[in-house]
Amino acid sequence: MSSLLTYAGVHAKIAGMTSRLLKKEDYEGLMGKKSVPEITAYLKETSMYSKVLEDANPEELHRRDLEMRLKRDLVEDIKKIFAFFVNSNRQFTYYIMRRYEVENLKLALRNALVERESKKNLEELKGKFYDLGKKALIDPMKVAACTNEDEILTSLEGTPYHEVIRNVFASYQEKSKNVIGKIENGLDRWLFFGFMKAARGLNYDDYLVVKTIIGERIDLVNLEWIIRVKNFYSMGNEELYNSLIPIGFRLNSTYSHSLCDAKEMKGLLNIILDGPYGFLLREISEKLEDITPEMITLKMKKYLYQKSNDAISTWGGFSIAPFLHYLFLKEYEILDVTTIIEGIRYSLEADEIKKHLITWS
Amino acid sequence: MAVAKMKNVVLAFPKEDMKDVNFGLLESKAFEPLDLKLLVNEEVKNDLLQIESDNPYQPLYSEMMQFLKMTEYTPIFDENKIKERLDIQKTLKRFSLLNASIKKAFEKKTELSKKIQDYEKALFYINILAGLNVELENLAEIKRIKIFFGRVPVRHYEALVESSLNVPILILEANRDNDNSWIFVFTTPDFLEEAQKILQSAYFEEDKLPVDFHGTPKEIKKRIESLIQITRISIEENDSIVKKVLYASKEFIDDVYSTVISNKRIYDLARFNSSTPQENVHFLSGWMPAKDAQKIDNELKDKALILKNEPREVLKKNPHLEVPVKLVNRGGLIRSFEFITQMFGTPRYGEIDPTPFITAFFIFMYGFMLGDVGHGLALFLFGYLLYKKGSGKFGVVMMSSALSSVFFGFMYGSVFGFDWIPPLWLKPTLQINQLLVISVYYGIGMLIFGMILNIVNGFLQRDMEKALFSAEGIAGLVFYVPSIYLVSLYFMKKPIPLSPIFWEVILGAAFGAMFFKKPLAQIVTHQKVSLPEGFWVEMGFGMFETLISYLSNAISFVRLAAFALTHEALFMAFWVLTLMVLPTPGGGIWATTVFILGQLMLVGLEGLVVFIQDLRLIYYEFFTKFFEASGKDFHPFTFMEGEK
Repeated sequence: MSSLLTYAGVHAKIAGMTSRLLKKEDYEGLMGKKSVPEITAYLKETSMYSKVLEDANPEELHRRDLEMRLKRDLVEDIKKIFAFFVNSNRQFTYYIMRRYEVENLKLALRNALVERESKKNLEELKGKFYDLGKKALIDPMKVAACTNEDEILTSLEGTPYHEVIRNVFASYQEKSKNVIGKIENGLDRWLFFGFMKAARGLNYDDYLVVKTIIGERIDLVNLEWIIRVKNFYSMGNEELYNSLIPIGFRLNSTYSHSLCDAKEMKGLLNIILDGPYGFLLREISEKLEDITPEMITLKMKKYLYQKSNDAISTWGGFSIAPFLHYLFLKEYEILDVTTIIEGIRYSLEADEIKKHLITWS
Repeated sequence: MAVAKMKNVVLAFPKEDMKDVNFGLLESKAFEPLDLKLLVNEEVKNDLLQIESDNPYQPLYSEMMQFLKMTEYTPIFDENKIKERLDIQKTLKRFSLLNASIKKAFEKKTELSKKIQDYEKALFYINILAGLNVELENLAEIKRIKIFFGRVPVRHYEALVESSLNVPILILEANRDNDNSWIFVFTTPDFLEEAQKILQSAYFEEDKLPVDFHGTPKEIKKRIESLIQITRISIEENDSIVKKVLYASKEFIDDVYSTVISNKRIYDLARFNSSTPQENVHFLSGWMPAKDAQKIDNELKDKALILKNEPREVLKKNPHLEVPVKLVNRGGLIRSFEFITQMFGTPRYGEIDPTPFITAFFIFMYGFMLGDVGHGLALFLFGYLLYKKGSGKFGVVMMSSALSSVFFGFMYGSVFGFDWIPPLWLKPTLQINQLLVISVYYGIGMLIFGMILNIVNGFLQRDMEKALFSAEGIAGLVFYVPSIYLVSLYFMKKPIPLSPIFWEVILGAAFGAMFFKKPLAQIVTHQKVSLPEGFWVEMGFGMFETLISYLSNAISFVRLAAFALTHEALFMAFWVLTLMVLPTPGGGIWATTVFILGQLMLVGLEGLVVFIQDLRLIYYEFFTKFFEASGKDFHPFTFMEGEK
């Protein structure tokens, strides 16, 4: 009964918003376009993106700005949905917003630490940050304008990021050039850890939903990372293990160890084949030799998309599931629209683009 | 109308007079700047130049503020001193000297504070190691085993332990807090490099053992603690140096503080100035209450050319602007009730300020609900205390309500709940029906009055839909008053005068007008008639809601009588309790205690509840009839920065 009361408003709101997701015809229409302005004009006509593109002039809007606007629309949606949550769990909503703030912070830090010479781009950067409104803890512009580590730490004073960044700086002083990578990794792990911890504060049914949906995502992100490391980087097995997100759903520590210890791609694929996600490989191809990392990545995304799509029928409407359902579906939609834009820019055929779409089955 | 008439003033003056004009405006304390560019058309806009001159007082101001920050001192702003002349360079020099003299001590102070933090950090490590009974310098000298001490974020600890199962690394957790887990790591010298890589991948952060301290952790702890004490003392020494300088020149600082601040504000206001391309004529525009605008006109007439516009003309040019609203009411009593209006909202410019009306209603209803001579006097005393203690406005509201309470006390014949005096009017517990009927009819009167205000507002704002056809407009009134009349006749069992068809036609016409208020208003204002989307559904529910609210709003006023009754009923309850304990041993004392506690409860509880109900009736039943409350407050530009 209580979950019925808690989620009645949200459910209705999300159902309404879900109906605005792009349909198959929309994708076909988008793929039929010849240029980015045409795509902008098309999206402007859809009920999903008409608001965010309201003041945009299709002829002038740059491709990157278009993508950025789509992403910002997602944050606006989340803010809207939160208004309908009755007695929502504070910690949980806090971490949902932190996810986008971490993205802001990563971008800002990249600007502050790596692209120090191109300081003049600061104004250009402004449009690339998510606008979190009152939910923001940091001002990304301030962070981006910093010139050294001390300034960065001062600008983050009083936020949870301070400890994370301080830790990275202290741990990697002078030893590594790739500090920004470590920072991004550290922030991600802080985020996931806090998120799952906060999810424990939800009621038990909702916790199960989050644990399954997010847990599977973490599993697959870890798997993808292991595959990439084994293919493209050289990294010690223990280091690799340490760089995984330390929470999972179906991947336990022994199995993760054996994944990290795998000798080369073939051995790794064999281990995956025997594990909980082996069916994904089998669905791609019977012969292991044919499988490339890109194919696995796309397959994983399609699998997660399918799972998010089925979330409501699996878990019921009066739970946190519709929220995650909408969140992920829209994320994939934006990813796909981005893919289409890119495909059209490099003038690929529609059939070719279709192969790279997540939502296209 | 108790909303001050606003004027939009545009001043044009030669560059040289900038200081005098801005000063005059600041001194009037009734000038809210408005960007001139919002008022003029495109062409002129491009010709207007934003003034971007530096504020000559800025360096002095920052120097002064720095001094005040270092000395942690805030002088009092004195308006008598704002006009005093000041030599900028000389004062600036003096402040620079002052700053230089305390800079060293201040820096030393900050440095020492940092040192204390370092010591405390070391103390923290030592506390972590407090259980170890080894001399720390020995640890660093072990050759065959490498030892690291440091921390990893708690979230990486488990992964680190698991990842190092198969390699020669041993991890011992020493302590943990919310974020970090402090660990000792043991490894062999030949595995050192890889161990460091692994540790790094878990975000391990090495903390140097305080090896420059000799001895066991316990001994070191004592030593650090005394170091901290010594540092504290030297911080105090430096602090007194700073304070000495401050008090030596306190008179000077108090003297110039107000002058510097006010002069800086003059140039702050200059930011709103704009000028012609040649920069010799400045323009400044803003809102001023009409009276102050007249005064400024007289004062600055030979310095500046002053143009006064009616808000209506300005709005015609730029409909997005909002005219700020300043409430001006005569008499301390009504002015004290302004805060009750403002808690709900500020009236829009051109709307009636309801404060005078609610003053009367509020006071009347308070007494009606809580009519008691004794309690009224107690509340009056409470209000007087509030008045003296600083919350003046609330005090006045309380006192006037309490006096009304005393008045109704005589009417009801009630003193502390007892019927010691004969009622002048009626006795609530005996004449319940009479009281109920009176309160409902009083409520109906108040609602009708609200509708009339709404009609006046509608005509003032030239909103015909609101004035003529809305449920609170003339159509509503034509519907409401006859309905009340007919229902009253029905309850009094009297025949209905005139033919029923007459009443049916009047009510039907009024109802129809309310239902079709949108298209009707479009016809009256000569617009094209078009029904908005969902018109029938919206109006269907809208009319249903309107009819219900006519009824419910009136019935809501039953609470007036209800609370008058509750007062006596509650008193009876406590009085019975008092009489019950009286026969027991030591009964006199008990009875007195119960009686006094009961009286306190009554005054406190009823005083509060009645106040809330009173507010509720005004906000919900009365204000919703006519009050839009979407106005913007008037914020003049003043000398103090914070006030804006």
